[in-house]
Amino acid sequence: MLLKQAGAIKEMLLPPDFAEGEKQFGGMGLNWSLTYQPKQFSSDTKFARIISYYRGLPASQRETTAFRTTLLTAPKVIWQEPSDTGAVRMTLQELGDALGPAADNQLTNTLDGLQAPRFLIQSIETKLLVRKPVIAIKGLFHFHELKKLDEILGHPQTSHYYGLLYDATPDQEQAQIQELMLSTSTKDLYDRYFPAFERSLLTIRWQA
Amino acid sequence: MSTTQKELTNNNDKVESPRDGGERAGVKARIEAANEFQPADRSISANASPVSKGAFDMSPSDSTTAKYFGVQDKAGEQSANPGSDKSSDNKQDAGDKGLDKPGDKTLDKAADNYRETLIKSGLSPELAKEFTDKKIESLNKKAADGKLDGTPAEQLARSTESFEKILAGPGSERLENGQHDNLTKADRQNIVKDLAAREADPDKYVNQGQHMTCVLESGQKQKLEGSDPAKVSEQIASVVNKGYAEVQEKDGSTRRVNVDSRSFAPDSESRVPFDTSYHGDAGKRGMAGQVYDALSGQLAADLKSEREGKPSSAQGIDKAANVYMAAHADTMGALPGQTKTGEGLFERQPNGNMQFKADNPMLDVWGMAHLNKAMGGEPGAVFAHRDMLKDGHPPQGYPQDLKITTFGSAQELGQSLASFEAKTGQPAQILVNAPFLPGGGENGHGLHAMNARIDGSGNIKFDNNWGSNYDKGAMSMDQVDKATNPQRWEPKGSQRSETHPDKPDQAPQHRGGNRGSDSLPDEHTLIKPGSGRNPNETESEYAQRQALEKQELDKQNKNKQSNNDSGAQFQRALAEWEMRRATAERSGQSFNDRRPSEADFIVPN
Repeated sequence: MLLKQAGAIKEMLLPPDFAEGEKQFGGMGLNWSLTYQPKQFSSDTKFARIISYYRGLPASQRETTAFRTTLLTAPKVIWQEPSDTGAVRMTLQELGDALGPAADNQLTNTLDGLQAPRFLIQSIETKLLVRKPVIAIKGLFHFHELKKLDEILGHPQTSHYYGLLYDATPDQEQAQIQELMLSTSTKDLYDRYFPAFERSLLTIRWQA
Repeated sequence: MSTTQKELTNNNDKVESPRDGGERAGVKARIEAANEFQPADRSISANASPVSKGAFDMSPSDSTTAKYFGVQDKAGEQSANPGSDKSSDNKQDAGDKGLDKPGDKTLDKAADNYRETLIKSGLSPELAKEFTDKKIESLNKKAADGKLDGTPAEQLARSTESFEKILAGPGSERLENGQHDNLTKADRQNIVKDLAAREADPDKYVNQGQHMTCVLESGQKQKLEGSDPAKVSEQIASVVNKGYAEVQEKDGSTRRVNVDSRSFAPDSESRVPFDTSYHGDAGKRGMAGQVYDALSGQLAADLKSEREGKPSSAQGIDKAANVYMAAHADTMGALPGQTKTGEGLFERQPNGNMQFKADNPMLDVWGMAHLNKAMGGEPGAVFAHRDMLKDGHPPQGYPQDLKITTFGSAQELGQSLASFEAKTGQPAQILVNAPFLPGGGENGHGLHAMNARIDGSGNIKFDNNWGSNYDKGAMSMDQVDKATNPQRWEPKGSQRSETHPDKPDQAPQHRGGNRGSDSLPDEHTLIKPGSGRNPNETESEYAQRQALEKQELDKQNKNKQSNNDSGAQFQRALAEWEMRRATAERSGQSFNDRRPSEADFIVPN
């Protein structure tokens, strides 16, 4: 099926077994969330979702500057495990909330207990996706008490994430950072649907 | 309840006539002090019911209530005579409306203490002065208008006392109700800084950040702009030191609200040291916002429990049938994620486990009005378009005296706002359909709570909960109507149906109005991100896609055993590609999309 008119995306051909799931609008400014998923994996405990998402508010001026500066480097692998984390920490700190909840990761947040990070970042890079610069992030959202990968994998509160963040309003002062993501409940589902998601990405037509 | 109070309370329930402006301003403080707060019989033990009249488990350790009862609080900070906290009434009776006069030493002293406490919390002297000056200006204006409980000096003193208590903490690792204190000294300083900012400039600093707390934050803004802003700081001080706060309705009914103390631990926004640009201009939620959300969100959950006849947090947070977490909802089992906010409303199961229900407080417009009433808000403080409500009467289970101010047009809204503000000094809490705000794209439906007021020029201003930069400012009457009037909520691209021929007086619904998730929001629609079909499609596109999906589903069912329909899927994708290419060629546009290949659609089992 076609995903149509989702912010900066004019249309995109989704993997064939994906159908419309939950859709949400409002509540946080002008936010939206459009979910697509295979019907056989659409429960809260077993899912594979492609989500078009906008958090509802433009990024602050500081975040906009950092986000757009980072996009200018595309294409570039900014960091991936197990590379040295020195330089990427600074980049992530500058990007701050521009990355949404993924900003609260093990490289930016070393606190323990309730304030521990909920995201284990595995890679961040800039890409050109059908000529548009995007930031691509891969990692795992997890229960805050878990630190090690083998503990995180298989935990019922873990989800696998691959997200693309892009500037939907490059001609405006503050960036509307929109996102397209694949989110799955298990690594098997991630491995199963990531190739189809990647192929779908190539069918994107951006708004003029 | 005395006859006098009953009359006044009943009158208050009819606030909303625009012709009824401001006659009872300042009366409510006298009602509370003179009629409601009788010296309590100390032998009375806590009532099992979460609601009681006035005397519900008012521990003398709560300094506010202790003052009424004339007892020493446990820290020995202050002893007061009954009613001394309401000395403003005497002043008002003397005709000066509680206004501290320029050069008033009492006010100067209170301002000095307030400012020094802010500096103690880590604010710069310049910012402490700025916040203090703004606060005094606001209090003086309210006092001059006769819309302040007590004098400005008394309001400042109460806030300062609360700030001191927040900074001092509970004195041990445990809160008074036995929960662990999850706040550090720096967190407490951030609460005071954020709270002072919110008191000084609610428009800029009362922000919900990336949270689904529009109802809770717009309610807080209303309280801070109302007649008793110090009450907010007292409730926050209580809940971060004791783990609970007493909240009181206007008729004196009091509830104890216990809050899960994990809700107070800073999240990724509130852990950022207080910053005027981050927690102000950028619209992020600071520490005081998070704590107040935790309190009012739990109260909303308790009201739900009450309506369901189940235990509330008054019996203990571990007994509450519904629990709201303002942050760290993963501690109760919610999934963290890129589209999550860290909040959670949970329902206790028969086995004691908590089940995640939603990442918002799950309030509809009546729930919002019930919360306002329970928090001691003005009757009719919640505004909604008349067509949002069925008949204007609260549904079963809600207090039947709940009042929502309704309006049928932007002009009528303007009149009601003027009347409400003249009477209370407060903006309204108003329900809008966010996608139909200017710039909202008119896509789908999603109810959102904002604050609204009318300015001297007759412009209606909508105040969002993300700093003044994100406010809608003055909107035209047409824009106001579009954002609030369900008759105007036609998703872009869909076709408006005609009025039903058999029911010419019935409001027309957009097509699919009865098609489950397509329904227009009404009084039972939760104030949260709304659902709906893809609003960017035209009606024919939607029908076409539905047919395709049905075909696909049928096919999948037929081939369930073999799971061998990838060829057909490829054929369909190819057909779609061909269709798009033909469309592009017809319109003379270039078409560079990659042709799908069969290999694209092989999904490994």
